[in-house]
Amino acid sequence: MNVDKLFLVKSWRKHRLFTVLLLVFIALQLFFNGKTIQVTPFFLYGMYAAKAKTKAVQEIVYLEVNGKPLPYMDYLPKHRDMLVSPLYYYLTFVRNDNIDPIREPLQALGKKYFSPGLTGQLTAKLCNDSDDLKAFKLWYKRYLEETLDEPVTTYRVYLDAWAFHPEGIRSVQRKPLLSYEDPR
Amino acid sequence: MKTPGRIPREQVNAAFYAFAVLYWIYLFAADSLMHQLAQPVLIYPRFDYTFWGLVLSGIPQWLTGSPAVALIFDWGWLACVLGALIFPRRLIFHRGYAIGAFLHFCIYNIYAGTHFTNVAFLMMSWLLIWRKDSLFELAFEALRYLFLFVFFSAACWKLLMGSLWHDGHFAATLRFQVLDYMVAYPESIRTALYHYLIFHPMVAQLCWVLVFSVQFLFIIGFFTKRYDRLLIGLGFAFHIGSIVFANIPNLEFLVCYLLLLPWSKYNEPAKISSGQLEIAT
Repeated sequence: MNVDKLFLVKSWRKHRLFTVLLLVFIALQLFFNGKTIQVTPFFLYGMYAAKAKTKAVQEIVYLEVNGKPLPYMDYLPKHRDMLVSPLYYYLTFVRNDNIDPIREPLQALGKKYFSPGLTGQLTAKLCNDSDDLKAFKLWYKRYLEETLDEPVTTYRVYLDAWAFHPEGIRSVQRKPLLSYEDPR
Repeated sequence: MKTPGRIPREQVNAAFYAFAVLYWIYLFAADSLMHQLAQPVLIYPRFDYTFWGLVLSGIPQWLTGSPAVALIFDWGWLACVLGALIFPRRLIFHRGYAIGAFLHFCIYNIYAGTHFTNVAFLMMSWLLIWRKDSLFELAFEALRYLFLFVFFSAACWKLLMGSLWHDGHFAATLRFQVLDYMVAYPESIRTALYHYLIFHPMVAQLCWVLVFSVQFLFIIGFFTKRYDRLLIGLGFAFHIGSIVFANIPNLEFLVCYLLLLPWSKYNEPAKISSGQLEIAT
């Protein structure tokens, strides 16, 4: 094997500082992958590698704006992400007694590595509180207005459960998740 | 001037920023630029320490909190793209674009609750920020390896986490990945395909093995560039397959295929045929 042809050797001969930065990047990428932690820009590119469990019933959101269904699947993927993903995040709050789901693990981390004062400050800045949850309702209205280019007077978000059957999918349950009505 | 064997910076610059213009237009059409986020409130910094740093600095809140600031950011980012296209040697535009790509990447994901959906442009924004051409060429090579790593490591994780031989893994993944689509388009051919795959987990798992094989083949690129065109073909097949079989549109990754094009060959002087030579003499 001709060592001179190796990229890192060529790089070292041309620009040492660049090569050092590159080696640091590689080391951090391997370190975070080894710890299975994702820190921008050192991602774990698993692409659905974690084992998935078969669920007979699956939930998705259903949106109704100004009394009409909003077909979010007709929107561009990034738009769809912004319309739907925050709702699933909101759902994790609802299922966690309206407490930010990262609050507890963050406090546990703080107990291990930081002082109680710093942990309190981190928790206050990195976690959402009940005021943010209230503000979310209004933000979602604003974002829907941005999406539809029209005023939104009402919206309702439901969580629909669907069951998979060999003959097809069947709706089994609809639960309200979030709603807004213009007070005027 | 053409220098044989070198990567033509101007052409790469034009190709990359043409993609960047399209990406900006796409974000605009998808209401995903900063000024279109309508002053979001819920943050989702996960355990990503870079996101933590940004949230603690207050930058995402400041950038999205005021429509005017957000608008300046978005148009400034576009100005950097256009500036880099028109003045390829002015580093300020390239570096401005890279900072913009980093901030947009982090802020979008912090508020959308996603994590690395638009990582391709974040990666590629590091390509043209270097003053010296020799550094640009090294960055090009390094990013090519990073792109290969993205695919190859995805195959490795499927092995390490055991999803490759986990019975019914892909059929189970499809249940949450495509349900929205099946509900929205109950009569479509793709819905019929998804339904078939969900209830034929062995066939679905064969598709998964195929995905693994395609991703694993990117290891070839670490040893030779001879098969880069094959990797482009495999990559495109992977992206089309992801859309058709799993409703996963990762089309931003298309910009990374610039790294697999044989640019140095484009820089070689054109061969002169013997007939042309006679006329010339």
